[in-house]
Parts: sequence; structure tokens; C-alpha cells
Amino acid sequence: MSTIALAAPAVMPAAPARTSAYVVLAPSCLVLTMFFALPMGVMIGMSFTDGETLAPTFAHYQRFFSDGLSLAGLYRTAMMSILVALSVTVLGYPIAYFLARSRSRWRAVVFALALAPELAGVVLRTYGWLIILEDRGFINDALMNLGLVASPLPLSKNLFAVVVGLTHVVLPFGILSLTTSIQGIDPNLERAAQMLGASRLSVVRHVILPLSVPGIVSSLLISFTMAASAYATPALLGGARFKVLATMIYEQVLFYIDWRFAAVMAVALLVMMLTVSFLGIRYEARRSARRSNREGERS
Amino acid sequence: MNRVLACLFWLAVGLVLLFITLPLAVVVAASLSPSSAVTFLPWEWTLDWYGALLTDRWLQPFLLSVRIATLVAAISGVLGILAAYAIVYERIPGATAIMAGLLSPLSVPQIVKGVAIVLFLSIIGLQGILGTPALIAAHVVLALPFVTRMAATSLANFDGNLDRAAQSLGATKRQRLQHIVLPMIKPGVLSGVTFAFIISFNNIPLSVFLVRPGDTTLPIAVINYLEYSLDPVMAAVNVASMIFILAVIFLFEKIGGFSAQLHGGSK
Amino acid sequence: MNNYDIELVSVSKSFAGLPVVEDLNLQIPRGEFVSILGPSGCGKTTTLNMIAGFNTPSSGDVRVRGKSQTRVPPERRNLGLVFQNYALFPHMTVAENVGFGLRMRGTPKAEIGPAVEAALRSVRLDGLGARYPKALSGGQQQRVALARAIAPRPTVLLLDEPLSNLDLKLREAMRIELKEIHEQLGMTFVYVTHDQEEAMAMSDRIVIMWQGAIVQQGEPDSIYRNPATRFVADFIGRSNILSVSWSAGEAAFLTLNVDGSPIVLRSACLTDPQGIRSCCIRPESIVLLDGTQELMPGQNRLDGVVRRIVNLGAHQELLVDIADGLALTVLVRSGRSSSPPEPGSTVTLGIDPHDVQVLSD
Repeated sequence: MSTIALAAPAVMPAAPARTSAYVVLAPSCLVLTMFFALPMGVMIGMSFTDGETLAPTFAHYQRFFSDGLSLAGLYRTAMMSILVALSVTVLGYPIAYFLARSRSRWRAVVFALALAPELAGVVLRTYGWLIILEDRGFINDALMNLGLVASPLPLSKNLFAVVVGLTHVVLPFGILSLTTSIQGIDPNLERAAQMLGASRLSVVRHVILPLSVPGIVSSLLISFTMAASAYATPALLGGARFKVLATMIYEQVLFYIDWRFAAVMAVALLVMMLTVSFLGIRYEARRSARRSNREGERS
Repeated sequence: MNRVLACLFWLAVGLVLLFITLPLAVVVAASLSPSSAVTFLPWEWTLDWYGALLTDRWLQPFLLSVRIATLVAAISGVLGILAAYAIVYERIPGATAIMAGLLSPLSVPQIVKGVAIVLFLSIIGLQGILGTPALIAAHVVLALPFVTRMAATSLANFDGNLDRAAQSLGATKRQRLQHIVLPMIKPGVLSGVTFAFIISFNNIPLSVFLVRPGDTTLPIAVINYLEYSLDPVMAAVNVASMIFILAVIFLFEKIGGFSAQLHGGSK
Repeated sequence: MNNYDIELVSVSKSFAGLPVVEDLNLQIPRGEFVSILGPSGCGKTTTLNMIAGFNTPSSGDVRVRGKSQTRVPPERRNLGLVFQNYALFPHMTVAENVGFGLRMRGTPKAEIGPAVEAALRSVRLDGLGARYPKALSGGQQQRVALARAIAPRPTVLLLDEPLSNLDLKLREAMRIELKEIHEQLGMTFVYVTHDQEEAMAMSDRIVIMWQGAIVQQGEPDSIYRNPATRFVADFIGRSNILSVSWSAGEAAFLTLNVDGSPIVLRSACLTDPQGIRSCCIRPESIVLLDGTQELMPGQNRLDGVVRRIVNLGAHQELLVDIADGLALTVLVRSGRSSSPPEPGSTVTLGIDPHDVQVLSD
């Protein structure tokens, strides 16, 4: 017991660890500045300057908004993202409801099945859809063998194929946000509604759906943004016929070597995504403001 | 009425699960099919396609991807812990703003980050680092916000009383960081690092801009090949890389080995 | 070097300009079990944290064995601290937890083992060293926390409401055990609690804090019998507090007028009559007179009507109206022989003048 060091009063370090805290933060800031902030600044700058004279100009944007191909790409991107957002949310909802409410032992299985594809990577899943949807793929093969169709249905290299593939890619994220939201609804509310005579259907329509609106909104948002910025799935399933902004940017950089136009397209994509995210943030802010108002009135 | 509804609900759940698993099952089936056309369910099976993977054509990209992903996981792990330490543990002034800055790359699509980096490097005349160095840097930019966020969350959930308890028992700051703080945030950091490895290993949108022709990562090699052929080698590559990812996750889980301590006894 | 393990010399602490502790002076002699008792927000935890070193006093000085600790970080103070939520390290076994303090001090491995064994034995947890904290019950975790804090032989053991997360039975058993461990170790214990029963049961001395200051300190018994202020009388035990004013002083007693009623009480307290504002009568010191008892000298006798009876098991609690808007709570022991009066019946209450404690506020 005599080995214990006595509390010899030591002087505290004069400067607390503040400076060292900034030092350890420096590498992260450096990397993000060098390979994110500066590149983003340069790219946005490039979209507003002339290639030869470096004078500021809107010419690239004028070109973008008067070019039929670019506008078609913009439209396809938006259309594709909206469809993916809707189908992810519709398909994800039953699974999410099951995951949020079930106590059966199948819950773990469903959970694993719903989320495991995320580990498989985008290429594997897209490749799977390619095999299924190709002109000589599973579905067309089966239909033709059964004599139901004479020539292959146009299932790939189009909007349909891209939406199917992206829905599959994004679905786990939609399910997660819906599940979280439904889990937040007190199960006693459902029981209370049932005790008051509501059928299962009315319980879903009048209790569950309205209360899970925040989850639905966040599922729509996350699906839209993930779809809009996806590259590999549209590239593989859309082919040369169905081009979206992401694949067009790639072509501009590597085939046409038109950097400034690529920068304009990238900025357009970024602005579209940030607009949608901003709408989501504003919705969330309004909702919480409403809630606190209501609470204010109550007290 | 309720019966019908329940049936419809189960049908919906079943169909969606089918939708989720179908492409995976198809790829696995195709990789084992002896036929070079991938249209039939294999009634016989073969591992020949996997044998075809053990050639330079696929091994080189695989090794490059592993090298890059390992470095990215290590770098973003260290940087993420340091940043989270400064922001959450030391509570430096302006922590919220700094955190927002560190997380800002999350709100920019990968393809936009990719094009920005390639344009930037070209403009400042650094095309020379395209290839592995640029890939590592770009993947770190991609992974760092995730790792920082997970490390910061672990640190924020860390019970400050444990730190104070250690301090009252005579542990200096260095000892506390080593014996208490780091072990406690290890699971969070490890899952962040695992995640960093996976998103680097699977990455396409950044890598397409930054690879050097002839020296590509595995996913890029795969999509290049897919442009002109759908043969079952593709299926084998994809299944093999998924198995690899699962093995990596399993390995990190083992290293973590933490859940047992938190929930179990001394068995 | 004096005989105090801990001294607080006019210590003040404010957070963001709000004073939490003001001009606190406290001396804790070696080997004593001292409780700092007060309602939540009274500044007792802040005081403990200043002793431990987690809070720095805004002014004043904290001394351990005569040495100022102002510039000593917590890890160099050699004090033990037991937390309310135990704060056991979940990634270490019980033995590793208990040995942590010694390990941090660089004690050789060969000495840590026996020290851990001894500490675990003193809290009767021998044999559980290889378990992880999560595998133990709440009471066992609390003992591990205790063993961990005492293993490095700290100068003083600080305990921050260590029993408040346990259920009642266990809490009562732990009180006795803590007291025994204290006696066995001969270490100074500083025990912070809001539970007056706990403080009464274990302490050599109780320090009562309210609004950032010490309102009274002393042995449990004397605090119970002679509360100095209305707050202490109300906080420690149960009491009837009546607003009174001095009316006359007899040879041995003061005579008090109960405000707003014709009732007159005699008190055996001999203090400055001008400072008297109120008085406190403990419910158990009031007796029911049924005419058989002998009249004691100076005894107060009050007639009243029983309004309500609450059965507390071992006791019956009577609420007796003795005047308009004035009622006394009376505690009588339940017994097979004596049946309590019915509600609505008239009773006579007897109060010994020694049990009428006058208060200055």
C-alpha cells in the first residue's frame, strides 16, 4: 500500500489543449480544401468564364439552356429521379411497416434481405438487372419461349430499365428512413383507433399514413437525390439511348473534352439537388415550427 | 375484410422482397452456369468462370482496388478520429461550423466531386497524379465525412463520467485517451473505417474520371467490360467481389470484438 | 499540518454569472464520515466537483491535507470518487476496473493483483473479478465502483449519491455496509446526497446546504433535535412549523403566541426572545393524553378534533385541528392494546416544552 504515489501538486499545463486541437484538425481541413473546396470553386468559376480570354461570361449557360440535347438530359434526369423516388417509397412502405411493427422471428430475416443488397455494390445489382431485362434476357426469353410475344419487349436501354435498377439501388435507404419514422409512432395510437371502431384500413389511412408523412418526405428526398446523382446504373441500363446529366457530364469530360460545358452540367445537377434538399429542410423546419407552436398553445 | 387486407399486405411484402433478391440470385446463378449465354437457370453448375478470374486481367484491378481501399480506410480513419477529437472532445470554439464544413462534401453528388477534381488537377497542371494518388485523395474526400460523423457520434455518446472516473483514479489525459476514450469509440470508428473501405472499393462515379487507362480499379474494369459483353465471367467477378466485401466486414467485426464484451459475461 | 483532510476556504463558484456556491467554509477532519445534504440544485454536487477538481472555484481555496489544490488537476489529487451511475468501464473486467487506478499510477503488476483482491474482498465481491460489469446486478456494480475508488487508497473518498439508483431494500442494506467499510478503512468519506434518511443513518456529521450556502452542520442527532432554521426543520424529518411570537419569559420557559390564534405554547429553548419567528414540533414528540398520564411540569396541553387518520403500518398519522386554520400532524405508534381515536373525536395533545424548538426565520 506504500507504493501509491502521493498527490504531488503538479502545475497544470499553462495553455490548455486548444492549440493541439487545432493542429489535429489541420490534416482533415487540408485534404478537404485541396481536393474538395478548391476543385469545387475552380469548377464553378470555369462554368462562368470564357475558355480563351478567361473573361466572365454566361455563354456556357446560354448554350446549355438553348441546346435540345442538354435540356432533354435535364428533363430525363428529373423524370427518372421523380419516378425512382415514388417507386422506392411505395415499394418500401410495406417492408418498413413490417420492420417497424413486427415482433416475429421473420423480422430479422426480412431486415437482412432488405438491406443486404447494399453490400453487394451497384455494379453487381445493375448487372443482375441487365441479365433480367436484356432483349435476350430472362423475361424476354421466357415470354418468347411461352409464345406470348413474337419479338422482345423493349425492357432495357430506356427509362423503364433505369428506374427499375435505381429503385433497387436506393430502396434500402428508403426503407430505413420509413422504418425510423413508423417506429416513432406510438403503437397505442393504432390500438386506440381500433378500440374506437376503426378498421385496419382506416387505421392505416387516418393514423399511420398521416403520422408517417415526415418519413415519406425524407424517403422521397433521399431517393430523388441518390437517383439524380447516380452514374453507373444509368450508364449501364440506359445505354446510349437514355442519357442523363451524370452520364452526359462524363462524356463531356472524356470524349468531347469540353470542360466548361461539363462544369455547367455539373453545376446544373448540383443546383437541382441542392434545391430539392433545401425544400426538404424547409419542410422539416416548418413542421417543427408548427409542432412547437402547438405545444406553445397547449401550455 | 381484415383477412383480405392482411393477405394483400403479406403479398406486397413478399413481392418487394422478391424484387430485392431477384437480381442477386440471378447473378449468383449465372456465375455458376456452364452456358455462356446467361439466359437460363443452370441445371448443371460449374466453377469455371471463377477460374477465369485468376488472371492478370482481373487480379490487377482487384489488387489496385484493395490497395486503394486499404489506404483510404486507414487515412480517413486517422483523420476522422483526430477531427472528431478536436470538435467533440476538446470542444474547440466554432465546433458546429467546423463540423458543418467537414460534412459539406456529403451534399455534393459524387459525379460532381469527380469532375471538379479532374478539372482542378488539369487546370493546375497536376494531371501527373491522376491514377492511384488522385484516386486515394478523392476517395478520402468521399469517405472522410462519413468516418468523421461516426467517430463524432461515438464520442458524443461517450459517457463523460467514465472520463471523469478515470481522472479521479489518477489517469492522465494521455492515459485516459489510450485506455478509456479510444476503446470506447472503437466500435463506431471501426464501422466507419469498414464503411470507408467498402465505398472506396465499390466506387465508380469518382473513379471513372481519375483512373489511368490500363491501370483501373475493379469496378471500372467491370463496367468497361460490360460495355461489350455480358458473359458469365462478369457474374463471377461480381459475386467474388461481394464475397470479398463480406469477408472484410467479418474481419473488421472480429477486430472490433466489442459487442461480446458489452453484452456478455466472462464465458 | 492540521488535522483536516479537506478544507474549503471561502469558496465561491458561479456558472455564467449565476452564483451556485457562495463563500463556503468547511473543514472535514480526518477519518470522519461527512454527508453534504441538500435538495437538488443546492450546490452540493458543485461543491463535491470542486473538491474532486472537476470544477475550479471562482474564488477561494480548496485544500487537501493543508495543501492548496487550485492548480492540481483531478488526476493528481489522490481522491477517490464514486459516481451515481457507477461509471464502470464497460470494456474492462471487474478486476481491470478495480486495478485501473493502481495501473495508472504505475504500480507494479505483482502488487496490483493482491490489492484488487483485497478491495474486492472488502466489498464482498471476491471471485467476480473476471466478469464484465454488464453481467452484474446494480448492487454489485455499485460495490465494484466502490472497490475501484478505494483500491488506490485515496486520501478521501467522495461519494456522489451512490445509492440513488438502487431499489429501497438494497439501498438500506448498502447503508449499513458503507458504514462498516468506512469504519474498517478509517478513510475520510464525503458523501453527497439529497436523502436525509441516508445521511442520518451513516454520517458522523451532516452539512446541510441550501441555495449555495451551508445552513447548518453538526451531528445527525443534534440537527434533528435542534434545527436552526425553518428550512432545516422542514427538510430533515417531518415537522409541524408554526409562526409564533414571543410573549413572555418565565423562569424556565419562554411563552409563545401562535400567530392568528389564541393558542399559547411554552418552550424550553432559551434564546434571544426578539429573534423568534416560528417554532417546530416533531409529530412523534406529541402525545395523546387520555387522562391517565401524570402532568409534567410546564407541559403544553391542547384540545383538538381529529380530522383525518392515515395508517402507515407501524404508526398512525393523525391530523388534528387545534384552532381555526391550524392543524398539527401527530404520529402515534400502532399497538394491539391502544386503538387510535376515530375521525371527528376530540383529543387532548400533550407537548413537552423541550420538544418545542424555536426558529429565527
